[in-house]
This record gives sequence, C-alpha cells and structure tokens, in this order.
Amino acid sequence: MSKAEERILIAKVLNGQTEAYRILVDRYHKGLVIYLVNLLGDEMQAEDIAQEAFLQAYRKLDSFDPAYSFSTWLYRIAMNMSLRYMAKNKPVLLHTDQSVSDAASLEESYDKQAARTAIRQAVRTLNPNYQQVINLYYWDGKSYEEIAQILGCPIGTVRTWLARSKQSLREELYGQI
Amino acid sequence: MDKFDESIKQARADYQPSADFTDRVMDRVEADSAKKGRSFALGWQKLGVSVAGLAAVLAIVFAGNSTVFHTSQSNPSPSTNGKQTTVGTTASTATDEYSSEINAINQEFAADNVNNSVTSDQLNDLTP
Repeated sequence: MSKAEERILIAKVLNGQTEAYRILVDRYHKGLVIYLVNLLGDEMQAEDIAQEAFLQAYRKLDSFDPAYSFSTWLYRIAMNMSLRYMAKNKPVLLHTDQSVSDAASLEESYDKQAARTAIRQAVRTLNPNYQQVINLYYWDGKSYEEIAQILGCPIGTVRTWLARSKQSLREELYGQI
Repeated sequence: MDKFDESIKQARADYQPSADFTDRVMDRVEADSAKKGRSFALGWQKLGVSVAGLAAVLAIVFAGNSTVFHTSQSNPSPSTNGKQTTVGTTASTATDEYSSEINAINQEFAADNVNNSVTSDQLNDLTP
C-alpha cells in the first residue's frame, strides 16, 4: 500500500468512515502479529498486543504525521507495549543439553526445527534493543531507515546494534568469544 | 548474507493470526467510536443543562430578587458536570497512559530528520 493510499484511508477514517480502518488492519495485521510472536514468543499475547496497538493507533490517528508510513508508526506503538510487557514478564530460556561448537555443526546437531527454536530462544536472551533489530531486520525485512524510525534512534546505531546482536547471538549459540 | 545470517533469517516464527483478528479489532474500534459519539452527545447535553441552569439563575438575579439570589448561592443547584467528569477521568486512565506515550512517539518522529544523521564513527566497520 502506498503512502498516498494510506493518507486517503486515514483521511476517510478521520472523517468518520470507521470502516476504512478495516483496510489498514487487514493490510498490516499479519506482519505485526508475526513480529510480536517473534519478539514475545507467545502467540496469544502477540495477538492481544497487536489488537491493542491497532486500537490505540485508531484513537490517536488525528495526531499521526502522514509524512511517515502508518506501519512504522504502528510498529513503534506495538513495540513500546511489548517492551512494557517484557519488562513485567521476563522470558525463561530453555537451554538444551546439546552443545554446539561451530556454525557448520548447528544444523547437523539439531534438526531444522530445533535449530530455529534454539535461535529464537537465544534471541530472547539478548537485550531488548538487540532483539528488536534482529526481529525487524531479519524477520520483518525492514530497512535500516525504517528500523531507525521504529526504534527512535540514528541509522548508525541500528547498524551497530545489529552487528553486536549477531556477535552476542554467536556467543550464545556457539560459545565463541 | 553469510550462512549465519541465513540461519537467523530462517528462524523466523511463522504464524497465521486468527481468522477473525480484523473483525475483533473493528468491533473494538466501532465500540470505541460509538462511545466517543455518546460522550460527545452527553457533553452537549450537559452543556445545555448548564446553560439553562445559568440562564435561570441570571433571570432571577436580574429580576432583582435578592432573597432568591442569596438562596441560590448558599444552595447551588446540583450540576452534573463535576460528577460525570470524575467518572470519565477514572475510566480513561489507561487510555491517557497510551495517549501520552503516543504523543511522545509523534514528537520523536517529528525530530527524526535531525536524529537520523549518521556520524562517521557509527558507520565504522559494523556493517552486518
């Protein structure tokens, strides 16, 4: 959906055509819910937060700056809600007994599904900023610029966090320092 | 992208949101919208009652009946205004919390043009 189409829909909603908001929800909900599932590791909670984010975005739609993408703004709202939730509910990492010595052996040691689960669990041990960049960059396909807008930081910081999060992830998964 | 990048990329959880997700959001949006409409109507109703009450008091005052004037001062007619405002304030505490948070997000977005400049040391060899 282009920004121009978004602006038209938002203008309609602001003029009382509530039903126009359905198109925005339809367009963005799947990506947002998956982003939150990856972040929180809890599908029901992800759906609840996504719902609440859409509702809050609707309530504050008159303050939305159309210079930005609606989805970026929406993700930012959802991210703040998630961080609050995560602060209250610290994740528990389920360590596996199997140790992995290097990248090449990762997929040999685990079956594919287990490897994916191990990576997701390892991501959840990272600090919240690192988790966000991994999630947004690798799993949501956002650009550095979009990530910078969602996280409210400079693009250079996004690059730095991404590099450091990868390093931390390597250490967590492969025990390399 | 190296092999490790690919592994991370493939670890993305795939999930299909509930089929009625959009309907559930829209139900809440419409309920919220209807509530706003009711509050708006109630606001006008309250304003109407207040204006009518004020007009009545002024009419009495201007009639020059000082006794009635003093009575109305010591026993002011009950106004629904204060009571209903209190109820509304309590109910919207959570909304206010999100509201201020979203205002903060908007302010940060507005400042993005300044904040998104990249310094040379940030671009140091950290390309993933």
